[in-house]
Amino acid sequence: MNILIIEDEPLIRKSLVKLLERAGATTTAEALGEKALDKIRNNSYDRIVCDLMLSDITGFDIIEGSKVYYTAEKVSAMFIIITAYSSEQVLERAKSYGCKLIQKPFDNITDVIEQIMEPI
Amino acid sequence: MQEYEVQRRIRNYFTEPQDVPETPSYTIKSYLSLLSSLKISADSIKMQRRIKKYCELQKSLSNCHDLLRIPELILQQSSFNNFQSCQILIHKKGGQVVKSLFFHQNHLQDSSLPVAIFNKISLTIKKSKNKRFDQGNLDLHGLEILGPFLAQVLDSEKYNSIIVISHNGFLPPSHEEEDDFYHFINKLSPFLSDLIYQNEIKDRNSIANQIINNIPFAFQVNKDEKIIHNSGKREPYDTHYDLSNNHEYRTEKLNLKSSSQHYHTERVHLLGELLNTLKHELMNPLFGLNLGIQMLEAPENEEDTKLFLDEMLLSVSRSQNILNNFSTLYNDTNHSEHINIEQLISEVITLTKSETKHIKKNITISEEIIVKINKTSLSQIIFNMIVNAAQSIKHKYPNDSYGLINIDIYREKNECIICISDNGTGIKEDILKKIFTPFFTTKEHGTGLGLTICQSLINKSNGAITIVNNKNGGATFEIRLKDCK
Repeated sequence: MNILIIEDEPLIRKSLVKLLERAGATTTAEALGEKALDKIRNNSYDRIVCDLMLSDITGFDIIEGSKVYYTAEKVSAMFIIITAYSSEQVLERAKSYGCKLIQKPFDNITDVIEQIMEPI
Repeated sequence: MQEYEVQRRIRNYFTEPQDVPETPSYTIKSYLSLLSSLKISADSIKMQRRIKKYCELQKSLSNCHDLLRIPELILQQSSFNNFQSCQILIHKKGGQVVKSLFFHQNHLQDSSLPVAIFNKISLTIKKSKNKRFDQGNLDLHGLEILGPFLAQVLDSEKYNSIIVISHNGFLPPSHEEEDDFYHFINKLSPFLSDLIYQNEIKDRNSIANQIINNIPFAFQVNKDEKIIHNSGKREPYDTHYDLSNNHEYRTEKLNLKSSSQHYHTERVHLLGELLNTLKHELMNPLFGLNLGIQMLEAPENEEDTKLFLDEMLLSVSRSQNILNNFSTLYNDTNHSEHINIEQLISEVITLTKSETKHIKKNITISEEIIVKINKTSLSQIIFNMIVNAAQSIKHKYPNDSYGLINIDIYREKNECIICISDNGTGIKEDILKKIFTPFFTTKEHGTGLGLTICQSLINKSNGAITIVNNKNGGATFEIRLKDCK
């Protein structure tokens, strides 16, 4: 499974990479939103784990940007949003894209890895 | 003869009572006789006209002490018979609001404008080279006059004013009218400042009177020989008096209770926002630490490594809890939920750590008690009580650690009772009565709002709060809450 991780907090990013590789996936990690969009454009991923608050743009911007290359259905199946935000507006918007949303911090890291590794 | 010399002599003529003719009305005849007495040549018709108008203005102004009548007065001058409307804009230097007096068709419109609009008009007038203005072309906001108009900006020490007059028609004013206007404004200028100032005083006095009459208790003040008293009619709890409408005078919110609520709400909101930001900023690094530590865990680790990693995980956990608890303390929502009292009180106690160092804290509870209440409200109440208790203890024992706070929680039917008892200084009788009053404080840097807010939050939750002094020193605050299981 080919997974792209978009997260700007180094410890979280590196931990996710390590854990997903242990679970058997091939991973690419990126901290910047713009660069992540480039990667999405030039490669194909089975799953994209994306943080909402990045230093340059938001996770929603990336989802919108991906719609250029994939159908809305593919996008909602592909993306998993991870975020610390629990406000109504954010949750509503995430729902509107149809993507899975996982709250940070994770209650159980093993569960989360399982969810990410679930076949599409 | 110089014009100013003529004016000087005329002024003297008017101010020296013995020179005033018997008939009080100043007719053209008497002007001309005055002129002849001053030996001015009859050829100087222009000069004569001007002097006549100056006298006319003087006379009008001597009868007029009200700024609000000036636009009307201007239109009454013989030179301006053809003018239909007059507008005066007054800006007190440093103010945000500009007064506008617009007189038209026997009616005066008194209103306000923002400074920006005044400045734009002023700039347009000052920059103009030919001083020929047409509202049809300029369409300046704030000006009520129509068509071609004459305008002048007057800058004085305290005020900037703009005076505008217009036929409200299509044809521009004549040269003579223009001339008369500028001369007239010149003469008016020194009087205008005084009139503006007097009007300002009058406004201020009327607002002060409104404030005095609306203070909700009776009083009487004797000053010199004047007695000011107030009937003290009481208004309902939640009203406040907004006296600002279009003035820049400060509004006085006179109902103390509602203003302390307002202050508190604003403060809570601000703190809530700050804490939110803090929480989000710290959440990520803390979560990173949590994951990182978990990554280091491996079965082949030595005992020491395992111990340290465990402690580190606990540390991170505690930090996350503190952030979460503070967020609860300053959360803005209004909904109630089922809360385990013992747990909440323990959580709040961790938040008071810095205030309650060296003070022993005991929680006594015999069963699990759940109350349906707004978590933020209760957290704030308990937090406040504990901090008050701690401060009282520190006052009595500044250097020792004899301090003790006992928290007893028990249930009576469907009421939950929380007693917070300290061995501090206790509360004097005369202060006990006032202790819940807004803005009443015995502390140097106190806001006087802590207990007021507590009381209002408790009332909102249909509870009650009472205070008693302990026999052995210190005080006990008893909180009763309904909806208890």
